[in-house]
Order: sequence, then structure tokens, then C-alpha cells
Amino acid sequence: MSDTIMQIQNLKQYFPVNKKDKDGKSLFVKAVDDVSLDIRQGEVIGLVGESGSGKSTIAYSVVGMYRPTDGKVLFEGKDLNVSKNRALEMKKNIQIVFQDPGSSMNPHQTIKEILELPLKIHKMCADKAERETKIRELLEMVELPVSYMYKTPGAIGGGERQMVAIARALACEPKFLILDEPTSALDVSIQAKIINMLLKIQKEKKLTYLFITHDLSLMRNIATRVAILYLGKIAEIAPAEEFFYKPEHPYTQMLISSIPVVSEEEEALKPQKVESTGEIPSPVNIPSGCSFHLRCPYVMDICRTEDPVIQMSDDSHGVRCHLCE
Amino acid sequence: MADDKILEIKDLKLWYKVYKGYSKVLDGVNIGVHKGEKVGIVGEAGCGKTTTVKSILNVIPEYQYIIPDGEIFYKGKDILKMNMKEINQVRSGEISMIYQEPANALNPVFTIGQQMMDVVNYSKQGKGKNKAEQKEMVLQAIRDVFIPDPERIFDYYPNQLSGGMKQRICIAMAIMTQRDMMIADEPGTALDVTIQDQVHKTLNRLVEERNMSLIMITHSLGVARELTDSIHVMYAGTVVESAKTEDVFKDTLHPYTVGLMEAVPRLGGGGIQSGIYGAIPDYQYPPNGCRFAPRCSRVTEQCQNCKPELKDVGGGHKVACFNL
Repeated sequence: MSDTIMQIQNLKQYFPVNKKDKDGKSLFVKAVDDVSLDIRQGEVIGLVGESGSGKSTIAYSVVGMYRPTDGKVLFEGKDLNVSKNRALEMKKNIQIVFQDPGSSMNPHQTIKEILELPLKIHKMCADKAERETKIRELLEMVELPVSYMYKTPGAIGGGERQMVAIARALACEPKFLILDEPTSALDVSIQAKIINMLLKIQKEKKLTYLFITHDLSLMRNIATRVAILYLGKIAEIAPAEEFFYKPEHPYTQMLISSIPVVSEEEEALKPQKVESTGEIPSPVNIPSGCSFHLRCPYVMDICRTEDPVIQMSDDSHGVRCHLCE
Repeated sequence: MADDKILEIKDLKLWYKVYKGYSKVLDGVNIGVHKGEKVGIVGEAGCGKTTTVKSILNVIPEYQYIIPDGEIFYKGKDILKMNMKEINQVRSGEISMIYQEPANALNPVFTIGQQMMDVVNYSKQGKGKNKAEQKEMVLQAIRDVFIPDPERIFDYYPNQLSGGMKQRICIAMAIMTQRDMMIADEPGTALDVTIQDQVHKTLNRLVEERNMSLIMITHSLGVARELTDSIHVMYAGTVVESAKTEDVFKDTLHPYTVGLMEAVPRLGGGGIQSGIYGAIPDYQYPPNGCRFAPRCSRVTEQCQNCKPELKDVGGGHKVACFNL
């Protein structure tokens, strides 16, 4: 078994809302509620969920944009949130690529300036000339022409912009990269190119990816392990192959059976049709018991009162459901 | 079969006016829709799908574009030659449209009920009726799209509803009065996959029940496969392949469609193909010949100089390519 690079332990991330309940207690959005996850060196772990399930919040907590309400994030055995400000070394090792390349880069800067900033901050290069060579290398790595250095983000296409965002994240040679829906704003033909490039870089540099997406069929093709989130909690976690052949949680079955597919063979892979009903409830008042029971076709009495805990059926496959106990 | 076409777009060209010239977006689009048929228009962002259907309803502001060539026949009459009164009749009684972003399609300062009552009020069916009858029509429409408790929803403002609910209200508005044709512009794209599935099913059921024709725009081949009878694949303002849905998937011919099909991640695994290199051409200075030539793997000299016509290769399967 390979080494664990990151441990997320009972992570909770609550945000206060400007509302009070009947007894005058202040309410919270429980965006992430008690999530534990071990990530091994060199794997691509997929986080999947509908909007509002807390995927991005986990990413932002890990990268340090939020301080966790409770719980710990350990990177190579060290707690990331001991002091108020994270050490520079820690920031260097964990980098993030955002969803929308249009708004994550300064439109007034050139690509060169954008790529230069992380190199300066983390003191990667001794002088200006060395920085320029490094920027050239970065652009070559993401298969962009070197002449793009003097363009602004507005002058290049969406796919190319996302490549620059990836180059920026890789500039300071991180060990761990968070990809927050890097291709969901792009077309499939461009998506294919970016994904292939990301996988190539991952192999070359032995990186670990935390890949967030809502596209399950994309996940099938790139992830080694997949975790499904529902209302801030992990519903099911399994190695990618097992996840798609033997989905156990009713929510996973519902998700997989609602994917539109392009061939008969894929149609056959879908689990017996679980009709999708209802919508994800507001995270401010999470239903009692199992948070999924309002939409679950197999709901039992126990689901309405008791929240199931995650059960590991074998070493790697975990399901949080009363049905599978 | 040829005679019962409810809508026929013939060689439509549409140019947007831009600084120093024209952006030649549509370059000869040919699409026919039969009565009761579900037609899918598939293509990537910026390939002119939305422009095509917007020109059917004539909803692009007039100063923004010119149509140098082409005709759009709806029930035998050319929409492009109609006057304002006739177009408004088509809009209010014949063709309805659902937009991609349900949040922007509804007016935030009126309640759902007020907005839907307006639709009834200006339709043929609702005109002579009194308030109570009109309200009953609205409530029935909300019930038809499976929203529980329509009385309560009637007094809600759009911001009190979730994205899936809003999109269903948009569908309800589109089917509320008898129409012959519905245009759906990526109705599920802004929604989660489970909600998208529900919205598509609702849409499909209603269209079939009422025997309406449907034009479904989508960028996802999977969605088109599940919902449509025939597919037109568009690239850079031209239709490159059009055929029955099963033929497109069984017997993919145009290199662009092949590339698009390969780039879709499969549920069975097996990695992702390389995709299609390059980007959509600059519409102000499009390539002379085939617009796909700069990105095509089978490109020859002929492709760079001549524009391929959409030709029938047997069984109604049409492809615009020289090198099959």
C-alpha cells in the first residue's frame, strides 16, 4: 500500500447564516459535516456531488481559504491549521486550479506576469533570466506556444486559459494539486485534450490530484478512487471500477442511472433504473436521520430517525446507508 | 414525407454586424422538422445553434444582424418575410421556446402566477375567459410539470424556487396553451444530472402527449441520443451531418462527429481519446473551403478551396464532406 499524503479527519465547515430558528439559536449552513478521507501518494481521487453538496468547500478548506470549524487536515503528517497563517512551504505544496478560467486570472496582466508571481513568491528562481526560462518550460509543458507569454487572458480561448491556470498551479512544483471542475466550462473536444495533458503531467511528476467534478463518466476514466458527497457527507467511497460496477448506495445508483450516455454498451452498465426524484434539500435545515431519505426509493423507518455511519464493507469500499448494514 | 414538414430552414445565412465588417456566423444551414418529430441540434459552444433557433422566432435585435440569403418556412410561409403582426401571432400561438438559463428567463419582480397569467391572457385559448378560468389553466399547467402544491407556487417569486423548479415553470409556460412546436435551448445544461434527467423526462412526456414538434439544442450527444428522433450536427455555422438518431451513433461519418464522439468520456472506462485539435475559426475571416478543414485529420487540397455540400449518402443520412 502506498503512503498516505493527506488525511482529512472529521472535517467540519459551518457557515453562519443571517437567520435565527424558533428558539433564537443562530443557524448554520453545514457545508461540510464530518468528512474523513485518506488520500494516498500518487492517486487521483474524485469528489463527485450535485451543486450544494460541499465539494468545493472541502477543496477550499484543504487549500486554506477557510479555517475549518472543527477537524483536522494533515499533510504528510503535519497539521495544516496550527497557526493562523499557514507556512509558506505548506502553501507551496498544495495548489488549486479553479473552475472558471475567465475569472481566476487578472485580465490586465500578461500570461508572463501571471506565471511569474508564484515563482517570485516561492523564490523558485534566482534571477529574471532564470524565471523567463522557467516560464518557457511551463508553457511548453502545457503545450502552448511560447509567444503566448505576451498575450493577456482575454486574447486567448477558454481552453488555453485553463491551460495557463494549470501552468500557474504547477509553477511552484507542488506535490498535491486540487482541480475544482477544471473542464466543466469547456467543450468535450477541449476537455479531452486538457484531461489527457493533466494525466500525463501527473505521471511525469508523480503528483496527487484531488479532482472535483459533477461528471461521473469523466470520473470513471481518470480517477483511481471516487467519493460521492451528499449534503456535506460522504455517501459512498470506492475504487473507480468497483464504484461503477457495484454501486451500493441508492444515491449513487440514482446518479449513475441518470447519466445520458452515447452507446448501447454503456446503457447496459447502468444499474437497474432508479428513478430520480426530488432535489437536494437546503443545507440550512438538513432532514433528520439520513439526509437522503426524502429522495430514497428504499426508505425505511429507521432512515427517518437515525443517521447511518459509514461502513467499510472491505478495505476500500465504504457505504453510508442503513440498507447495506 | 417531404410534404408534412412543419418547419424548413433553407440555406440560411446570418451575419452579425461587428466592428469593421461582419461576423459570418451562419453559413448555409438546412434543417427540416416534420410534424411530431423530435429534432436535436448538437454542436459545441459558438457553433451557431442558438443563433439558428433564435432566427426562427426572430428574436435577435434587428440592428445586430443581416440575413444575406436563406428562407425559413413555417407551415409554408416564410418567417423572414412576415410583418410584425404575423410574427407575433407565430410567437403567441404557434412556437414556444425554453431558454438555457431558467434564472434569467423569469422576471424577478413578478410572481410566477402573474407571469403565467400574462401568457394565458395573450393566447388564443385564454382571451375570452374570466380570471378564475385563466387561473385554473395556469394551475393545471403547473400540475402537468409535476410541481406539488401549485396554489402555493402561484404566489411565489422566482428567487424562492430552485433551478430545477424554475426550469419546470418555464416548460409549464411553454406548454400552457396549445402550440405546434417547441424549441428547447439546452434546458438541462444549467442543472444537476439528476434534476436534468427529471426535466428532460417531463419535457419528453409533454411533447409526446401533445404531439408537438420539438427542436432540442444540446451540446451533449448523450442527451440527444435519449431524447431525439433525428440529429443535426453543427460545426461553425454549417450542418455537417444530419441523420436519424440511431444512424448517427451506429454509422458516424463526418470527421467532426467522429472526433466529438470519441471525446465523450465513456461510462465503461478505457481512458479518453485525444479530442479535436484547435478551436472554432474566426467568424470574421472564416476559411474559404470547408470550415472544419483547419482541424480535420482527413484534410485534402479540395477541402481548403471548395465548400462541401450536404449530400445524401443513403437512407436519408446526409454528410457534408469530400473524403468519406
